[in-house]
Amino acid sequence: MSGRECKPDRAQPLKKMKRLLLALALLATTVFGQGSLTPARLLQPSTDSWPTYNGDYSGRRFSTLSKVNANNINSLSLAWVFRAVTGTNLNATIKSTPLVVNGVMYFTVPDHVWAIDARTSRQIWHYSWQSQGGDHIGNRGVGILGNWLFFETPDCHLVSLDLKEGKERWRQKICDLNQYYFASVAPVIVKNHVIVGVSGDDLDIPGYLQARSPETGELQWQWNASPKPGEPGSETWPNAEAMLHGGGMTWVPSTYDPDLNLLYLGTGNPQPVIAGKGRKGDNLFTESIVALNADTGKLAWHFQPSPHDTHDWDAVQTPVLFDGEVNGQPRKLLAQASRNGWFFVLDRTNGKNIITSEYVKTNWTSGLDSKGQPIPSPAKEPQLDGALVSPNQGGAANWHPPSFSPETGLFYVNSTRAFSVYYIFDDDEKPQGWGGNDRSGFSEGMMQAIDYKTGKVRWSHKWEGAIGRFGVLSTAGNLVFTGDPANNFVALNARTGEPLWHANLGAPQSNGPITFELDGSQYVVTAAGDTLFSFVMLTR
Amino acid sequence: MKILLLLMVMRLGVQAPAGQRAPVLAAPGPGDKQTVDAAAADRGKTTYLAECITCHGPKARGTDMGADLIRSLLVLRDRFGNELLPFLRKGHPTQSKTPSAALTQAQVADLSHFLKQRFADTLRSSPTYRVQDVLTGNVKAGAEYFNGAGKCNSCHSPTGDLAGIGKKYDPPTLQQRFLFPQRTKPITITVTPGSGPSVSGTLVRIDDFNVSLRDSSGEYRAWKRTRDLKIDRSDPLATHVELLDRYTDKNMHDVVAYLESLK
Repeated sequence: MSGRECKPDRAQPLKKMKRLLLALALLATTVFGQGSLTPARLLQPSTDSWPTYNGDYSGRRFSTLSKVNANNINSLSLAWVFRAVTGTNLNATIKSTPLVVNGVMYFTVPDHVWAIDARTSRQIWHYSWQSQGGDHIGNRGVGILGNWLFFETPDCHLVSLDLKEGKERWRQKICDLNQYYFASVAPVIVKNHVIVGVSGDDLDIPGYLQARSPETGELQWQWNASPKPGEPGSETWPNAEAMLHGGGMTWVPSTYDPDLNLLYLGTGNPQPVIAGKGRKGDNLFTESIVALNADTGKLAWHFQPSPHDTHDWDAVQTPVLFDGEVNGQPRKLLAQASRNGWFFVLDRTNGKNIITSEYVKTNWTSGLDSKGQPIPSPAKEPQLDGALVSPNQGGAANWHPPSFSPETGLFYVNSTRAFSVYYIFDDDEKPQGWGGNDRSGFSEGMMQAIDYKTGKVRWSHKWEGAIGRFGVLSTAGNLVFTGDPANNFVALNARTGEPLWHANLGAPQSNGPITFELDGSQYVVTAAGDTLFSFVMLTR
Repeated sequence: MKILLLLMVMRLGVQAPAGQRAPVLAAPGPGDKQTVDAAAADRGKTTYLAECITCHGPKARGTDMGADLIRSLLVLRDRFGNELLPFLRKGHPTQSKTPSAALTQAQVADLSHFLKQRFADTLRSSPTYRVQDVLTGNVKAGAEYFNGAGKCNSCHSPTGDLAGIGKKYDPPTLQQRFLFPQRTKPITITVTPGSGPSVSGTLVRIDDFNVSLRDSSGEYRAWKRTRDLKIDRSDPLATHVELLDRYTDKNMHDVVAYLESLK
């Protein structure tokens, strides 16, 4: 597609800064009404809001609210229930994390956006997109700036709506449906950039991340997940064609450090997915954590959790940002619990590895390389007669957001330990697409609380069920909210993992929970299937 | 986009079969994707073998002499020949030296079906994907593991529950069922409340907060899980789960070879 030709902005820094300040000033005077979500407010989110996919730029999904806490959690009551009725038979599971701005909640399912009253769930507006196709597997939600809302559609569009009435402002094509791309990511707003990713691994297509103008949707810059011949990283591919068709989708929202002006992104699997013999090498920058300049898209550094992956273990899990101590020294850190079963702590200023550890037991590595990256064992690559591998294709973690509490120093990730047999189905010299798959068997789910200083699991709470793929929220109330395999929305003691409270939602919890405070009352909201559930600790 | 496609189809006189025009939204890819007509693809194969295979390869994945047609944007955009036909009418080398423009509209539409079929071969949902030969292990080594390190013979017998197992399942199924046996016997539990007698039965449901069972009389019993409530459980598959951490791939293939020999 033509956007792939776009070069990063190489204007001189001073000139760029002047332009940015001018743009922000124009935005502030012409766009942002009183109380609207400005770039400044995005840097300091208030507790009466949940203004971005992760609540803030860090990806921690930690709230300082504590009116709901480990001592009073059993007084939490149901505030309201809202069912997302689309009028179609397409997937209406709410995988989006709702945003809350000025008392209004905004959320999505594929092709649909709702604005509802966060206090009562009264519908304010509902926008429905007429789709031309694309994988309707899920949508992660919206991004908001000023009076504008942004979301992606399965048929490859970025759409902007007016926040007040849900009327369409503009639409821009961001990928090519004919190549089986689709779009599902919640846009991330950074300054005057709308950061959008793309999805799709049916065909051998390249992944990329884009920044687009909030005013018009025009392309500002594009970062490509695979290099061109001669560029850094190209030495990890056998030839230009493999690079051009190398995958690396960008299907989970990135995090952002405003001081470093770096976006942090996890990238998806290389292509072909399972049959990897046509792409020998590490296949950068697939299955990588990358740091990109937010204004240019230029790569600052990379770290690769799964070099030369052949198991569909996208490393897209949220790169969570926090400041901590390592060997007594303050450090700017980034942590990821990756789909491949390994936990990484990096120095987010330069990508240097600090910790690599297993957070569930795996069997696919032969050790770590000098950069702290797991070395894949050739015997555990998919085989014609099968290889018994753990984790399975679904992974030890998947897209479901984790959480980090600065109060406990623990990284919470709902996890699955699973085995499957990986097969090569297509032993052609030039496999394409998938070329194989796994056949799954046993699995068990658990919540893992990982000490970032050691990489060790401080406590593990095993679920009574096979799956641990549920979003997580931690709070200053010494609580961790998440789902369990029995359709419960659960609160655990953040320090011990003890189950404290639950509500059976009748379907698996399906998104990242959020919390906010309105009128002095703390709300906790999550989704199960096509329904949002809001719980509240009412003030008297 | 639909209108544009319709105009292109009308211009070229290429007709999309009835029923192909409504967007199909429940699957990946464009809603107006071309559904392969197997008979047309067979006819297209004849044309492909005669005119294209030398340069584009047996699976249309390209060679040093010709482009990969599975990854071709023109082919991906094509619907029933509406992109291929104008391309070929401009002139393109053929094996028989027949001018490509001489290919009829019907031949090109059939060729389109053949290429879409090859394209579908590569998808995650490919109908051509099959587990291949899993009988690569050693029967004798499998028997030794069965009766030795694996301790399989402590629960199973080649002349008892496993008699004829090699006839019952094909090898890929046998491999899957040996590693991950389906539950035939339920999990049983014994619940002991802080006060009151123990109750045993088959597990119905358990989470961190509640547990229920059905006792031998068929009665459903349920409890809130409290600190003084004790639960003991027996899972007939627990040993199989433990073995997953101990099997090597050689063990796995040897045991499958041994089980397959039990006919």
